[in-house]
Amino acid sequence: MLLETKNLTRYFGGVKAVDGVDIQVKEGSIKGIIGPNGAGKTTFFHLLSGHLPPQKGWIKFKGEIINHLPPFERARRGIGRVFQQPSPFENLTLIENILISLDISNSPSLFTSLLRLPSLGKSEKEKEKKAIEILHFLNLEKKLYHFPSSLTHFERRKMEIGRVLALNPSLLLLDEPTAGLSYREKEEIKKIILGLKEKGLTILVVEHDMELITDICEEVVVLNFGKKIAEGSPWEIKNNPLVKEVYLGEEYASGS
Amino acid sequence: MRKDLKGLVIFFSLIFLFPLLVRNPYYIGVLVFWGIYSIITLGLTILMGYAGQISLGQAGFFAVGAYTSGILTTRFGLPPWLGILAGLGLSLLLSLFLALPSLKLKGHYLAMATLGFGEIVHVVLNAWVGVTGGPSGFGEIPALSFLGWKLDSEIRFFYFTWGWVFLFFLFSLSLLKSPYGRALRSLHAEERIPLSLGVNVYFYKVFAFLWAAFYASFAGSLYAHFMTFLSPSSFTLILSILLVLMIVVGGLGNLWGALLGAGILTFLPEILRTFEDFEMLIYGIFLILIMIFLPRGLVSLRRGKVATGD
Repeated sequence: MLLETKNLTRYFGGVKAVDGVDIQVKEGSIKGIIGPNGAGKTTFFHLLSGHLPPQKGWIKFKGEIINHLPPFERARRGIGRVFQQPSPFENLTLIENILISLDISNSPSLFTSLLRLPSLGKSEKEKEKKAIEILHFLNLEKKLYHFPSSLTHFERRKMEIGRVLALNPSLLLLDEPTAGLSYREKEEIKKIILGLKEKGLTILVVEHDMELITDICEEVVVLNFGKKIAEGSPWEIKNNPLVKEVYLGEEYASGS
Repeated sequence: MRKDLKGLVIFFSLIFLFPLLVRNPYYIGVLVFWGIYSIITLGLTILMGYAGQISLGQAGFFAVGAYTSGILTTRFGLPPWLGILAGLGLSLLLSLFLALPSLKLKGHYLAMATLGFGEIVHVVLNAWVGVTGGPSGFGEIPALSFLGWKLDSEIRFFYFTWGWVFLFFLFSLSLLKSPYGRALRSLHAEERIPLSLGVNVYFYKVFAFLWAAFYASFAGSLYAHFMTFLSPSSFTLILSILLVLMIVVGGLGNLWGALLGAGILTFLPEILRTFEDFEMLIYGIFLILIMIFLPRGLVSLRRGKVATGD
């Protein structure tokens, strides 16, 4: 197992946002997490990425308990998280936004940097090449030197994915990657996600769009009031009466 | 970077030509002060403009540099360069001691810690009479020599100081244009974002604080050898606040702003002196107007994108 959680619990005051959740994510798989608003999906991601500490339970990544690790350590070990709200570094160009994460694994010493020794230029070139590769994969290579404020919502989203990919993660956490996107844009994101899976990435995705979940996920976990209420293939989940009641039921009832 | 370098060459050519046109040692002395303050602000702007922290105790590091240099050279006869290095070492140690605990916490704890630090330094300078000379200070600090030149006149010291301003500007520019600078610039965003990309935000905040302390201490050593006399009244909270104001007036996180802000607030009191009783009033109004109309500092007057300003 690449990622495993056991009895993971987080409350805010009396509210149990995540309540004893066990999940297991196999290497190279795509797992979906669905659930109505307020089911604890984003909180669950906060726990995985280290932005919130859990009160109970543990998280195991690559066979090691990582509860105590701060977010930047988890990122360095290979947990890449894309947030729900695009939040690029507005004061950095598109390519610099990507370089930030490439710097983590390839950064010359302070001495070299301050004196601008030749090895600085060499490592900068390497990283730039890598950044352009990533941006090419995301179809963004034409806007390298644009500032985020001049990019569309869709481009900003893709930039965030690129920033995380630059960490060379083994696990990708995607929080509603297609929210607010058009049909065509959704299709492109879908293609990107499947492309990443092909490259061997393991992906955990929170999404409201059932169609996307059905298309890309092998397995789906359903959360409701912080509890895991079902787990299985997308097909099993769709036909699970409990899930229909708490989640899909609302949509069926409203006729969408 | 290229644009900055071009600006740098033009700016420093003008500065270096100044003594050829104006021979009045008084004005050259004021320019030396501008240079010394610029070194402090070129470091402090990294802390304030990037790490988002305020230091209200920069006068403390300035004093540590000045007194370490002064005491070691005057009382112990050590060569000035050793005094400067000792001051830098001591300042880095003290800044580490301040930054490690206070930057672990969220909020402006560093500002409070530095406020306390500045006051403690001031008290020590006053009370430790045997070493610091107490409130009346001490003098006869030997002049610096550089490559066989004794820096005992205003003009010589002027070139020496501004040579260092140039170097420190280049260091700060190199820093900002390196991977370290990128990480510092990423601290602008909400903390969770750089954290989730592997950036050790805590490390960079501590780093920026040490950087600023290093610059202030070096400037302090220069000050000691320029003045040849030190007393605690030059290292008060007022100076710390003035340094913060210089950054804000010039433009936060912008190296040109740091130079410009230091210059304006060094010259302004000299110019306003002719207004006598109204001096402080005009000074205050000037600051208020800047805050109202140019909240991003004087550098925002220039539209062109100077790379160091983002």
